[in-house]
Amino acid sequence: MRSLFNSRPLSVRFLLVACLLTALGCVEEIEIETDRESIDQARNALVVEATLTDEDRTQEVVLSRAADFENDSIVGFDEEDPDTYLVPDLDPENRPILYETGASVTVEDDRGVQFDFVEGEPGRYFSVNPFAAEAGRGYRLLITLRSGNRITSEFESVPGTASLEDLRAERATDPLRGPGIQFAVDGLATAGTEAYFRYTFEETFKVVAPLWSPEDFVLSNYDPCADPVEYDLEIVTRTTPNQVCYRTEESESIIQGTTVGLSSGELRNFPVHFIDRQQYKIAERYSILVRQHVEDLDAYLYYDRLRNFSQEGNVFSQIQPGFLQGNLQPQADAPLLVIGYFSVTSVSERRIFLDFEDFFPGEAAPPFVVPCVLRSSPVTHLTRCPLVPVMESGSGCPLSVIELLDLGGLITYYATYDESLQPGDPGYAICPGPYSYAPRVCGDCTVLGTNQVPDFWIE
Amino acid sequence: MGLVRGQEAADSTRIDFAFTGLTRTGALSELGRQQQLRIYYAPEWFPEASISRSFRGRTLESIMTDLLSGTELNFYRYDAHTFILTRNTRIYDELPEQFFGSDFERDSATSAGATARAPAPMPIFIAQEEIPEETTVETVRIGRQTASTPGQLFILEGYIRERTSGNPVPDVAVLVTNRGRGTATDVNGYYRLELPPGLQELRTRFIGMEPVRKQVILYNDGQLDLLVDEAVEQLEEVVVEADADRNVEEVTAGTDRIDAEESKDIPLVLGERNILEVAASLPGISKAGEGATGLNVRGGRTDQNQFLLNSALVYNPTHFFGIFQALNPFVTESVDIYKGAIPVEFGGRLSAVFDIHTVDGDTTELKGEGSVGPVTANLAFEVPVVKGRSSLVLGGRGAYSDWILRSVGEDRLSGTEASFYDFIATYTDRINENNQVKATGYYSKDRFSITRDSLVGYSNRAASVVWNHTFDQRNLATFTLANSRYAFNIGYDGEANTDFDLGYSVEETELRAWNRFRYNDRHQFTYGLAAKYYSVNPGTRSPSGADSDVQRTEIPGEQALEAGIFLADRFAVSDRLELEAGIRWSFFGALGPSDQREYPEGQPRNPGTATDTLSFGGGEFIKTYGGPEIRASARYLLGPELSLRAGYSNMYQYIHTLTNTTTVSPIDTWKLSDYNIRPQKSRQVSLGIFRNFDDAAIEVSAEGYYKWSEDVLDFKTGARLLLNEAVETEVVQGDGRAYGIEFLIRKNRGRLNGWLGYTYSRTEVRFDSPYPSEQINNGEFFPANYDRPHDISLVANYRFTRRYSLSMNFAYQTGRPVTYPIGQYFFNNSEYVLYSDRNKNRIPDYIRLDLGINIEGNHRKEKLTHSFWTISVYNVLGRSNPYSVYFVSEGGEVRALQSSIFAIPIPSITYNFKF
Repeated sequence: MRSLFNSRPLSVRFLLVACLLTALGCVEEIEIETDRESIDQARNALVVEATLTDEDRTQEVVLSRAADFENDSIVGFDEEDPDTYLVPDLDPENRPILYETGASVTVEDDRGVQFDFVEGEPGRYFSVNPFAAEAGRGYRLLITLRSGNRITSEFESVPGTASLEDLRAERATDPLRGPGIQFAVDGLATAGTEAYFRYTFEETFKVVAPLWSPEDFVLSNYDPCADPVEYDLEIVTRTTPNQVCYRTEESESIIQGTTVGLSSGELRNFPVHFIDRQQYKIAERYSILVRQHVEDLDAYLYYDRLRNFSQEGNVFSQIQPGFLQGNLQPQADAPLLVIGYFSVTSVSERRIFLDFEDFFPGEAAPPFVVPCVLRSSPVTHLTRCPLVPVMESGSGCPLSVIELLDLGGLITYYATYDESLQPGDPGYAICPGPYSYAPRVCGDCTVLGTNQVPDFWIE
Repeated sequence: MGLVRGQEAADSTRIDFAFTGLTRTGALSELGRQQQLRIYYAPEWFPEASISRSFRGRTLESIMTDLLSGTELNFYRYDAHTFILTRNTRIYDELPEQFFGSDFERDSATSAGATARAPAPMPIFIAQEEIPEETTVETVRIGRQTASTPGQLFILEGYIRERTSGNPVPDVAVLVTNRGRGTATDVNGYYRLELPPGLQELRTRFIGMEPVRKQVILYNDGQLDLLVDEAVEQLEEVVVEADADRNVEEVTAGTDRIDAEESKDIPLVLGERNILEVAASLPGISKAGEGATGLNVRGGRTDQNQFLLNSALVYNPTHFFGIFQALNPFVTESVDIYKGAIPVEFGGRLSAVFDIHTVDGDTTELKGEGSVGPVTANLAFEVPVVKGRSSLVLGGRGAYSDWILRSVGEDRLSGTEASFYDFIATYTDRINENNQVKATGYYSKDRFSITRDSLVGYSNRAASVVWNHTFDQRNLATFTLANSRYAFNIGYDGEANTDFDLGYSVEETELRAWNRFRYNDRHQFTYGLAAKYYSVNPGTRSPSGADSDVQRTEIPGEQALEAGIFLADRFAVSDRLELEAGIRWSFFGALGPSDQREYPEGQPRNPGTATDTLSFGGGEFIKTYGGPEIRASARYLLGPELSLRAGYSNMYQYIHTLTNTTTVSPIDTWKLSDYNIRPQKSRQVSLGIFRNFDDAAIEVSAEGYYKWSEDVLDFKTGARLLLNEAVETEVVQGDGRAYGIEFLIRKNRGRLNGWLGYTYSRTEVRFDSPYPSEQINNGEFFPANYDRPHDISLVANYRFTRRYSLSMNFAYQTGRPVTYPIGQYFFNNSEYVLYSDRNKNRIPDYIRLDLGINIEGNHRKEKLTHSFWTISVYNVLGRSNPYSVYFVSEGGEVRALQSSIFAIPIPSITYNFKF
């Protein structure tokens, strides 16, 4: 039941209708089991992410392995109950992905010219020199894995051009997610009238730490085994600017549109993204870069099928899933499933900036990503050696300041504790120490982003 | 027609009788005069022609038989001096052959017209003779003896009251069994009889009351008041029973019948009667799940069934994803289900025919029936048009779910729709004894939103005219003209300039003429022909709204002609062995105008490999398919209540649904065979043993089958089927095998009745090809989506009193196959699941128990309307039976979800009324 109201809008409405009509059947989350054969098959599945564009730049190919369910529970981060100290980590670098290292990657054009790639980071292969896919040329991807297995793609070429005519943001209301900002594009096919578009976007937004202070803790010489515990705790002026940062998130869903069947050759007001007004992303200045890839029909269908397989459709008729064959084939005898599609696209992009005030004038800004409250606890604790259960050590008090800092800097300094606080006041602590502190994410914006102003940023 | 069983039939006095040049009427009066007989008849029954006869030493009966030969007349010897001639009527005509039991000897000289097909069971009302009666009967003397003249009649009168309440009981039959007289009480419970003096054996008879038996010695006029007791088990004694031995004596392999009455007491979801759901509880018939449209019969796909409503095809006889039937329950009389050797007059679908009949309507008085349930309201009327001859039946029903949705006031549901309705009208006219016409019009419509952007609607339309014409007693012909249409549309209303309306429709018109010819007692032929014209609009997309830039796209229409010519002989080889052997020559021609793509042999089909496009003009045959279809059945009676039945059939099917979902949905399109898509074919053999016990009160049967199919359609993973002109590049054709054994125990009479069915069956399909892109699961056999090996159904009804009955319905099925992912991967900043072999896993087993109580209103007091309440609880166990398991990728993470349609017990109350 819980998941029902929290899933994607597409089918929830219909499900609700069904539920109401039928006095509530419903959807529940389950765990599924796996078997040996499936595990072996999954481990032998190579994932290829390769989109060659007509922009003159360093091109990138990412190789990874699928994960079987023995090692990874299919149920992941619970958005409904995020731990206050943790923020969903959207950085692909930090995901538990089994990257395929040590492969040799080459793109070859139809004249036999080869563009070599080198592994810059584990599993991420970058072209040695920047290059652009040229119109009218065929390109194919050649991969030789460390195991010696070879994978070859079909020849693909730039399937025409189009321009991203406009990107706009409008205040809108989504029936399920309430008021927010709708981003929509106009895409115009410039060669002929038929084009298939795949949209990706990159959101960059300013994050201001709400409980930032110019000073911070510095812990040194900590020895939890000494009795009494040894440590030096200083409060020093911050040297790195971490009140204002910029966070960048990549789009996750497959967004595709087409001008096929449209007389104008232009896809107008096509919605690519919606942010509801409760999201902290738009609390400060926000920017979105939408990239429009012109792809060919096969690539479009590949992504379309992938999308169909991973959404609910409707409760009554589920799309029959199966293995999706792309345009990459392993050599005949390789015990390998190859997932992914090597596409060659023509890209055009647009970026816009916006402020919350422009869309919701006079309204309260959305809350920060996590609730930020000041806490306080004793600075130190009893010795941990021999190991004493934490709860017994502080007679019900939260972890001590030095432990929280030692655990990876979970907190940042805010101020000295105000002894006059009464129960119910913000920042009141049952078991106060000398300092008020904040969860690190509330006092140090580098948890969420970078403190470097991006090159493209315009205030 | 064999009514010679009169009490004097044994009279073997032999006489001589001769005449010349008399009409038959003249001869009869002469015979009457000579033998002092009273012979009752109407002179106009006889032909004018004169005859001459000379009989020597013959019994009266044999003379009578001779005199009536060549006419439609029967005689009945009432007593030694009385003969009553009767003329065969159509009612006798339709009496099941085995109406009097198989041992009954037919009088061949006067045998009535043929009933060619399996005998239609007639309800037999078993009256209360079986009630044990006390052996000592009270004797009452009435009146004072006076001198009376012979032949004088006296009046016996009185009141009949119910013993406990003292209320007068109307309509009680008061019979004097030894005098052949009787009357019925009026509203005040008053009766009056004129009787000769002497001993009267008096009996009362009334449904719902214990009978009273008295010996009355009548001397003079007098009064006799009687008290009667309510008979608690009375209704149990009135049993609507299918033809008792039909189960054993049926010849056609793989047949079932469901009467609407049967479906009345079975608890069903949300109080809606659903005869198709009842069908699914019979062995060999199953559904992919709650909310799955369509039935799977003996391992057949859902598109292999033909639902005929008074001979007109209904493409989708369900509402709201199969949860409700799209047939008005009050108008539906019965469904004949053929799942084995389908009779030759049907053709075109591989698995089964559901031949749905509606009621004929009352020709004497206006009748109505209705119900109000939590989801729908139903209403039906039977309106006499010409009294005693023709009648109009009107039925309508609608769901008020829209109203429910609106009144919930939930924001998420704003603008959401889900509604349906259906309407039926039939007109039946018995023009005369030899001609009967039944015209039917039917329409059903569903509308619902799947997403907030789109609105889906689908509709069925069906119309038919069926004319039954009796040429003579041996030839009964049927002419049918039927037209059906199925259409759906999807309206998309989103943000961009891409709003559209998408429409699809399939329409067919069929003309069928066939005759049942009773050649003699042993041979009964069925022959005829049928022709059907199809026209399909495979998809039209047009702009919707001023802002839409959508170009009108139309996939060119498809047309085809399907025809069949058929002949079958039902041949009674001996008393024990009966055969039904038939052949149907099936023909299909896909018609132009059309452009068809040609693909080279030895290469996978995809849009790039088409080598040529062939253009066909209007009316030109693109490609023809067809061949002989054998329909053969044999029944051998091992004993009066034990038989063996075997069947073989092969079939062709030229129209297919294209679906890329795991269960069938209303927006699946029907596609005709064409240049590239071959017809589906099947062959089936079956063998069964049938045993009845206790005078057919209990039927037990076991029947096994094996079925091969060829060229069944499936699709490539992720196929795009809608608005795809080259749809042949998305489908693959493979073969299937299905086998199973079906057990059924059925109790037809008594307080407790119902059935227990168990089916073990397997259904597997194989899609093999030299090209990996056209293989599924490496070209090996794998379980079909609806393969559910174990299937148990228990349907039971227990009647406590004539007003209260309890019913239950239990279902167990192995969970259907499902494709689980084998792993997950990260792609495009999001997690996705990786699928491999299709249908390797199964969702959990399906277990459900439903209970229901029927409360009948009081019959006696409310003469005008009769009502009953149905209270039922669906899924009493509250088991969350998974309907599907699926995987969604959201927020960059993959989640496994399981959906069930009815996860909790669902109570409902329905009020039914009749007037």
